Parts: sequence; structure tokens; C-alpha cells
Amino acid sequence: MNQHNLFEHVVTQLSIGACIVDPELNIVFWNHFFADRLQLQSADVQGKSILELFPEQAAFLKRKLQSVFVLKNASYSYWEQRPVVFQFKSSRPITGEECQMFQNVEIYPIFDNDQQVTCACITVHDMTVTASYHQELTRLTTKLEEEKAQQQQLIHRLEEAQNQLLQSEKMAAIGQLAAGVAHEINNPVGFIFSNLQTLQEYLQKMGKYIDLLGKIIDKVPQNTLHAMKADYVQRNQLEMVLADCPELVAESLEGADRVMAIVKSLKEFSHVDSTDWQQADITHGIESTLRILSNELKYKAEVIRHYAPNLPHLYCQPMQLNQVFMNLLVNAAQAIETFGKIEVSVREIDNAVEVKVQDSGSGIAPDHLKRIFEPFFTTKPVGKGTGLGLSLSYSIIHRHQGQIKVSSELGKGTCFTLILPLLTPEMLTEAENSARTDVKSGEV
Amino acid sequence: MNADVTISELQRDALQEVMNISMGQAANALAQLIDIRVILSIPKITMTTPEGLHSLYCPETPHFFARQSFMGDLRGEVISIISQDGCAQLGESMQYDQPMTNNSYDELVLELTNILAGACLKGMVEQMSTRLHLAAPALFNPQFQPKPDYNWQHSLTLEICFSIENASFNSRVVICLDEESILVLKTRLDTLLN
Repeated sequence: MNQHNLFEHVVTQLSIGACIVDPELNIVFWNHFFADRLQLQSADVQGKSILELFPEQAAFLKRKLQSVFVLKNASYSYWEQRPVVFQFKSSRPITGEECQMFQNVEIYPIFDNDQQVTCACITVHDMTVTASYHQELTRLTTKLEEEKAQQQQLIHRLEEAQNQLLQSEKMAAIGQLAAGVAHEINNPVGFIFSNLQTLQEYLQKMGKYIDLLGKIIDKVPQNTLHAMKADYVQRNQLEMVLADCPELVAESLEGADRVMAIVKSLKEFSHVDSTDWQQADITHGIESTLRILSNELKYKAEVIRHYAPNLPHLYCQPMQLNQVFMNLLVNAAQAIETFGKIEVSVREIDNAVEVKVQDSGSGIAPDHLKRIFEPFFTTKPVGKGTGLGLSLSYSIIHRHQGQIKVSSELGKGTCFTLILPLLTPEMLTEAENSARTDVKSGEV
Repeated sequence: MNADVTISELQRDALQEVMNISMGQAANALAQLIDIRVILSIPKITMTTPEGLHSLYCPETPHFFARQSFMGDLRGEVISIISQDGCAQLGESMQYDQPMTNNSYDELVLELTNILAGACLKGMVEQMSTRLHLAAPALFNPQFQPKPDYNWQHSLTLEICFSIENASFNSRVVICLDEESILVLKTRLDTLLN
């Protein structure tokens, strides 16, 4: 075998693609790598234009080959930027996922003895293994980065939850303090109130007695006594004093009554055993919440109550429900820009009590509506809302096996509806037990 | 500085002449490939240190970086620093598919590096009848690389600016020769001078 034949055999059987083209870009030769993959022997394509054989990449090949013939330098193409130059099937038709061969292409000039470029040789390296490995790595890296971002978000949420926990502990401490103070105030206010009531009676009696004395003096025919009485009455403005007394006492009684009501609300609201389940009149809870909020509400809205008569008592956690009313009422007030109205309706519907809180505020945007019960969702400015109020309310109502629904129209207002079923202690225990089984089966 | 690697005034003038001629040829070749008027600066010949080379990597505007090594009688690397500004226009005139994607920008930078390095070295190699082979170019991002501990002290750099008429595009091609090649180059220059 002469050297020329030897070289041809080597080139033909090389495991990289080799294709030689002349300056007119017609194919002079290609080796088995090309022939096997395209089912076209070298002799079949000899003299054919490479641009016509590979029309998809004609512009690219033309540019590359031109630069090789003009600059007399090699030119390269990489799988990263241009995965497929020649439409070869994947080198892993059975085990690989990729359907085409990833290629690195190198085109270099072939010089004759006068240093003129007579041909260009296109070599193709199969990069499929490296490429798919690389792509797998990229996928993994992306996934890792995504997970990292999620964890970051989780950490952020945990921090917020921790802050919230601190906040609620603080609130609980304040609640206990308030309950203590309320208890301390309750006793003195109690006797002030009852003493004032007694004083009111005594004053009426004394007033009558003074009247009587005056009339008796008037009947006595003794001028000095008359003059003394008139002088005393005038100097001490006794007429005014006597007229003012009942009013003063009545006002004080009203004041004491108000103090008692506030104390009562505070005690009710921040009662230590607030998670107790008990039979309760739901309107009492609403009223006590409204009293606590009276200062906040009075400049924002007129509160209209529609309580149906003879409402059944509800087996519930009254203090937890108060928390819900509080959230709904505060939200309603905050939704009102200047002054509006808040309607609170309570009625009985088949085996449940329905509570509606309807405001005339700005309403909730439709795309926010489906997110309002999500924890940490808030549209209030930073520091104003925790985004927990409604999610907390949701979980409280859920614990009561009830439903919380919302309907809203932008510019018209929002209506929250609570449906609280009439539960019995037995039903509740049953539900708790089944919930536990659910969790267990969920774990399996 | 090691006396061996310094080049004399005469040698520098000769090299400058060689480079100027190669630039003329390069510009001609480029004009056939790129359908707009390109401007090649007169090559700047300097000796540089690792610090000097590193200062190349901190341009003010965003740039692409690529490098390409060559070996043979002369050994070294070509570093191209290509402004991101104006690349889109250049891609269009080089008949890249529009709109350009990140991949096509990378491809453009690699191709440009290869063409410029080839064009700039070709003339020099022919005139000095040396032989060298350019390896494939590769992208790199110097920002992600710590200042490396180079195992050389001096390099001869030939810096050429390449720009396009009426466009904000600009690029620099820096041909760096290693210390051994400087000695080879000096011998060749002396032969030319004689």
C-alpha cells in the first residue's frame, strides 16, 4: 500500500467527520463519518455544492468557508452556540435523550506547495456526550439555585412569623395586664356606682325635706326668719345648687356606667381562658367588640345593627370569635376613606348562625380577592398590616367548622359572611378525632 | 528586566514596519468578509508585565472577552476585548440571523476574535517566514478570575484597535508573545534587517 492510499484509508476511517471542499464550495471528498450518517457515499456527492446539501446552514457554512479561503486561517464553531451544523442523528439513538448530534466544527485551509489555499477541510467532532453532561449540570445548577431562592424565601417568612409571634406574645401580655387592671378597677367603680345610686335617692329625699322646711318657714309669721332664709338662699345660690344636684349625680352615674362597660369589655376580650368552648350569645361578642372599637369607628362609619330576635346560643370559643369580628370590623373601617357605614347582620339559617359585615368602603381588587386569606398577604403599607388578620380569622372559623366568604365590588364595598354551624360538644370531639386520623393516614 | 528580552530601537522599528504591512493586508481581507468599512489602528508595540495585562481587563463599559492561543515558532495568546455596544449592528452586517440571541453574540465574538487574530498574525508570519498555528478561540470572563499568579515577568504585546465607521463599536486585539518567543522574534527581525 503506498503512502497516498494509506492516508486515504486513515482519513476515511477516522472517528471524526472530514469533508473536503474546493474554493467553489463543491465537495471533493468526505469520509465514512459523513457517509454513514447521511447514507451518501463520497462518490455520490463529489462535485455537489455543500450549500445545496445542507440548506439549513448554507448561510453559516458560506460565511465560514469564505473566511477560511480569504484569511487562510482555520475557523471554528462550537456546540454551545450552534449545537447542530450538519443534520446528523444522535450518536445515542437508544440510550440518549437528545435527538441530534451536538457538534464542534473546525474548518481549516489546505495549502499547496505555493502556499495557496486549494481546498478547505471541514472536521466534525461529536460532542453529544459532553453536551448532554454539560446540560445536565446546567439543569442541576438551575434547580439548586431555585431551591436556594425558595429557602431564602422560607427563611424570610420564618423571620416574619417569628416577629409576629413576638408581637402576639406582647399582645397577650398586654391583654393580661388589661385584665388585671380591669379587675382592680372593677371593685372601686362598683362601689362608686352603687354609692352614687344611693346618694341619688338620699338627695331626692333631702331635696324634698328642704322644700318642706321652706314651706314651713314661709307659713310662720315671723319676718326675721323669712329674711334669714332669703338671705341664705341668695348667698349660697341654693336654688341653683338644688336644681343642679340631680343632674350632677345622674351624669356621674352615667360616667361610672361607662367605665363599668369598658372594664367589662376589656375583661371579656382579654379573658385568660379565652380559648374555652362554651355556649354563648354571639351578639354579645359583637357588641363587646364594637364597644372596644367605638373610638376607632365613630369617626369612620355609622354602625347599623340587624340582629334577628331569639337567636340561638352557639357552642363556640367566644373570645376567638371576638378576634374575628375585630379583624372584620377594623378592615371595614380601614376600607372607608372618609365616612361611610358598616352594617352588621346576624340571623339564623338552617342549623347555623350567619353573620354579615358589610362596609361601604373602597372594595378589594379581583386579583387580590383570591389571596386575602393567604398568610402574610397584605395591601397595607409596610408596618401597618401583618397580613395575618384574615388568615387567622379563617383558621378560627375553620376550627368552628364554619365558612368565611367574601364578595366585593371596587368602589362599592366589601361583604364578609360567616356561617357558624350550631355545634354540640360531641360533634366537635368527633371532628377532632377524624382530623387526627387524617393526619396519620396522610403521613403514611 | 532581563537583557535578553529587551528589543532594540532598530528591532522595534522593523517590527513596527512588519506589523503595519500586515495590518494593510488584514484590512483588505476583512473588507472581503465584512460588508462595512473597518478601521484598523497602527499596532502599538509594548513590553508588558502581569499587572499591565491585568489592567486590560477593566474597561469602563461592558465588553466581551475572548482568547486564542497560538503555537509554532512563536507562542503566545491573542486576547480580544470587544465592546458590547455596537455588536448588534456588526452582527447584522455579518449576516447573522436577526434578532441576535445570547448565543449568536457569543458566536459573533468568537468568530470576530478568530478572524482578527488570524488576519493580524497572518501578515506578520508570512513576512518573517515563521510558522504558527492558531488554536480555537474561547470566551472568558476576567471578572470571575482572581488575579492569577503568572509564571512570566515580561511579555511583548502588539495591540491593534479595530472599529467600524459610523458605529459605536470598538474592539482591541492584543497579541501577547511569551519570553521565549521574544528571543525567536528578535532573531527573525535581525535576519530581516540584514
